Amino acid sequence: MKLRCSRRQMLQGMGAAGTAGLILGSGYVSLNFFSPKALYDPPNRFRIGKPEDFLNNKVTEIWKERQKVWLVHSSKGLYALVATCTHLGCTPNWFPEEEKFKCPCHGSVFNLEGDGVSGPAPEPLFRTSIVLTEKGDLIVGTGNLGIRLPDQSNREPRRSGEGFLIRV
Amino acid sequence: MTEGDNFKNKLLRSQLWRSIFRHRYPRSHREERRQSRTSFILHFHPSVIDKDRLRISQTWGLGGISFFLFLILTISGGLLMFYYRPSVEHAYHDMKDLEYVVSFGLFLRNLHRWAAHGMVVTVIAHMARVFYAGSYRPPRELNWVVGVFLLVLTFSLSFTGYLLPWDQLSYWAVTVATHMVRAAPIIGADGPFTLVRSGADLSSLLLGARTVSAPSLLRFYVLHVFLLPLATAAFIALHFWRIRKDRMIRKLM
Repeated sequence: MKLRCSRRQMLQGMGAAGTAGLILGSGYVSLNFFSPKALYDPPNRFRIGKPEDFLNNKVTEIWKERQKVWLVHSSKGLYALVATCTHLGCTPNWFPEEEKFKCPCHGSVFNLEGDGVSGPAPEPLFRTSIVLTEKGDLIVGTGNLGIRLPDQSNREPRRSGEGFLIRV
Repeated sequence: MTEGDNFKNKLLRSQLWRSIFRHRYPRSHREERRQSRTSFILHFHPSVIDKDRLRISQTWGLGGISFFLFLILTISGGLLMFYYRPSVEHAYHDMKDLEYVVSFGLFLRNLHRWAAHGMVVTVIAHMARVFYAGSYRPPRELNWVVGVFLLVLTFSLSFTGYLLPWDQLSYWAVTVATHMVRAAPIIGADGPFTLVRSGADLSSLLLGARTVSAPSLLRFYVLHVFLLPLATAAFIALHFWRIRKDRMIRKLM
């Protein structure tokens, strides 16, 4: 088959292709410019200390500000809760007298286990992985979020050697 | 007639197309002249002009080049603002991030810098051309004054942008310049016939402090990205409008 194409159509086609290329190319470049290349978030795995350091307090709040994590010591053991409400992502507050986490945005209340007691939160507070190294240090990993559902008292670790509860 | 031609004709006759482009391709000189009066883009040039005035050497296009550089500076500067925080803690590191981390950040920063240097050069050259051609004569004397304001605004934009990288060069350059401001008569603390004390003179007004410090960076930033560009755009609009509305200087050199 012989393709018939006038000089004008040829030039118009080339012009349209060039314009489309320019728009697509500059679109790609713009996307590339606006997507962040360096994130200044805190590291998602960090050492928090020895288990003995946390046996006096029920809730340790020193990582809440930056890493958004509470370390909780309950009758079951040590575990790390994510300080982000499962409703719409606000940061709840810990009330030691009532032993409750309360979210200021829409009034969700969680108990020491992170289970929802009242309010709109659909799920318990998430847990982060927590590992005891051979040297006896606790490592919290916020990148590997464990979601503890209400009917599962403790989920199985996702990877070998990674759990969501340290028995003490 | 092919499918493509059919679509093109439909598009050209659609209300959407005709609301954006009010004119068809001109068929006569009369139509051409009407269009150049009523079209926003075309009205930048007069509808009729002497043949001699079309020579490149008549203006060297210096005003147009200055405006083009101003557009480049506005766009590249607006994009740089996405990654620059005007605080003592962040400014220098954000500038370094633009150079080494952000995609095309180095290109944008260099574009902004060289266009800024270029604009100072072309604005001065434009002014010299207007002076030597005598284009400042009546009825264009007001436009010369507007041009002087634009020259001062260009220098001010250059000067305020100089501080923003917050490195040693910019810090000491602005320290030196604002010390020179202190020597201004009457309103400078160290100048002759001074009426103001240190901390309340023109230099402190610029810096928001006695020395170049955190308030100075913020002041220079707000001037550089908001007040001065706004004033420059307003004066450019007036400058362009006057050059089209003032009568021509009849006698060519």
